[in-house]
Amino acid sequence: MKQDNQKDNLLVDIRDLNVAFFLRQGVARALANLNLQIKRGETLGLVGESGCGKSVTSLAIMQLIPEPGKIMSGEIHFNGEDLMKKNRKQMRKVRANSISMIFQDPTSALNPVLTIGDQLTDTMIVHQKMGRKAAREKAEFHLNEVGISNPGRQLKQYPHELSGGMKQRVMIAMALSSEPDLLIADEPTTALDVTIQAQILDLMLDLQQKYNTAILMITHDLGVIAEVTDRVAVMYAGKIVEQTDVKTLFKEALHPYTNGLMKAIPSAVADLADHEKLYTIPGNVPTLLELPHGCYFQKRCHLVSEECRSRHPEFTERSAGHLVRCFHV
Amino acid sequence: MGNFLIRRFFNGILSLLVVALIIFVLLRAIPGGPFDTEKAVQPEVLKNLEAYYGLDKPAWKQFLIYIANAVRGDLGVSYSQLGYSVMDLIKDKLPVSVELGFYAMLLAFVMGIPLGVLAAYYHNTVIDYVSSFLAILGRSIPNMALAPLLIIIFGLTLRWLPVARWSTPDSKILPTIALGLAIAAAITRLTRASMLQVIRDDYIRTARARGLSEKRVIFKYALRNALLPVLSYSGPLIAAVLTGSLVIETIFAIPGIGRYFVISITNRDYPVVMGVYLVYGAFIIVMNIIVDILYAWADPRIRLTK
Ligand SMILES: Nc1ncnc2c1ncn2[C@@H]1O[C@H](COP(=O)(O)OP(=O)(O)OP(=O)(O)O)[C@@H](O)[C@H]1O
Ligand SMILES: [Mg+2]
Repeated sequence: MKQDNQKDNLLVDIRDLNVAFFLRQGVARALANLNLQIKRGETLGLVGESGCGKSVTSLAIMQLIPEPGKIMSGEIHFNGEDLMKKNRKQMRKVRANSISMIFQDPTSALNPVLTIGDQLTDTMIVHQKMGRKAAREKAEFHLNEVGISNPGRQLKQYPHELSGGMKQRVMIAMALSSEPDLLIADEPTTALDVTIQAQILDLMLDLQQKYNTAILMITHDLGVIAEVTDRVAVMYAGKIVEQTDVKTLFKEALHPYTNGLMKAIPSAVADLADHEKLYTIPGNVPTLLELPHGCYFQKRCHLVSEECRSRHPEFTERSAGHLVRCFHV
Repeated sequence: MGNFLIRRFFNGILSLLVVALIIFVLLRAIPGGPFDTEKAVQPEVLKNLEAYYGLDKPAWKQFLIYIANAVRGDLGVSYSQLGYSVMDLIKDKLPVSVELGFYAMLLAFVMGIPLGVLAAYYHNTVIDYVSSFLAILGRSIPNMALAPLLIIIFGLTLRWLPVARWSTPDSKILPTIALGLAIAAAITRLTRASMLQVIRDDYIRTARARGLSEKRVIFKYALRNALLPVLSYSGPLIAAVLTGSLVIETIFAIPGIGRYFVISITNRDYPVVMGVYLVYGAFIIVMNIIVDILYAWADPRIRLTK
């Protein structure tokens, strides 16, 4: 019974997902046997250094991996159905109705030559078969909901006439207008002013409550993670290396990489002298073209042993819901 | 908008004055004169002719007189065709040239844009390679080589189409192709490149992520952005059509202004050459203003203020 309940509770279940980019220099394995679960209504944070595969993970869920990338194998269960088995048309339905996405830079994410209204109503007209007028009214409602005053006027404006924060609000309105089960937010505040960042995050959380939307929050800002997420997955070179609830992560992170990330946050209480000696994880992310044999983190890890060089550590559960990929912790 | 038009209008007039001055100087710098013939003309006759046409006055005076008359709409009379005023000549011949240029541009856009879109959409497939090959071919054959080729194949060998003149609709096909094909090729390549860039843009990913169909993504979200560079290229393109039409009209014996222009240069028919240059210049200036207005209409980020 409990087992069943948990299964129902699972919105996204990614199993052994492999994505590769076929580049001139060789094959870059962007995702290597990635496993990731998102529960209904929760906020899952996905953190990791630049290039570790966060965006690729989100685009794989959407089935929108750009050329020259390809999903090589794996399953992506969403609402109990494998998205990999869906054809183009079915997948368009999923994107229009059940999964939405917002991106880092709202300026480039909106079409410069179409009005806000045109872009907001398009999916409604195409997929919800709404009339132009009804769609406009719904669009106005959602703009109001994201805190845009005078939505009737905004609908007629072009993206360049709005500020960055406003554009991200429009993106959120657009994303939530279909009342999706999953909202993927790929660094939604990175491009915004610090003062606006908190507003946008609050707004997302409010609307999440309202529509019971699960959020996949991609970021490299551990501050954002601490503030908004329920659970966190830490990613390194195309694999999840640690996954747990947010409290445990900040209190007792296990993986050496996660600990490195934690130490690298400039702390508000630390004095200036400490700031100057801000910790950085030694070495660089391995190139995805020639990943080392064994654990991908071995070259930068202070716990490295023979075992780490010979085989890859499995994902093992250390305490309830706390999974780690490491031989030595 | 009003300010923009006024400013562009005065800029245009200024440009035309400069063009007139340059042509005036150049024409007099090339050897030979309007009344040179194989037979020696008697000096007195030559003197009379030059006096009649005002060519005995100092050059700067000639230029000022020309400009003063031009402002009043009098571009002088042809030296080589007695009694034919340059204004009448333009009125007679220009429509034919405009028609030819229009067909060529039409062919270029109607062919170039879809081919470019197809090539970009089917990037790195056979469709892309074929379209790119055709585009490179079209760009590499100069129209003065393409025209005779078309005449030989479709006119003389297959006998499908007339080889010259501008009368029946079928007589207009070969000149249109000869003039328009290279431009179609240029537009194909430009559209392809621009489209390839645009479909990588973030807003295209947004549109796809919202579940819109590929057709809608391409035609509603990508094409308009992709055509902006094509639009700004159409200004210079019009100039290319004009120069191309000089050759094409001559080869196909089309009674347009381009053919007449070529003849006038060999004849040193100063007023005709000057007049045609000014008409071409004015035409290019007006077309560029129109392109700028269209651009501002197509791209809401542009405002016609500066
Ligand atoms: N369009 C692409 N072409 C080629 N390789 C790509 C492309 N997109 C991603 N990759 C490969 O996939 C890897 C992961 O990229 P991804 O964009 O997911 O990183 P990320 O974790 O989102 O980084 P960032 O924090 O910088 O956004 C990259 O290191 C790169 O090798
Ligand atoms: Mg990214």
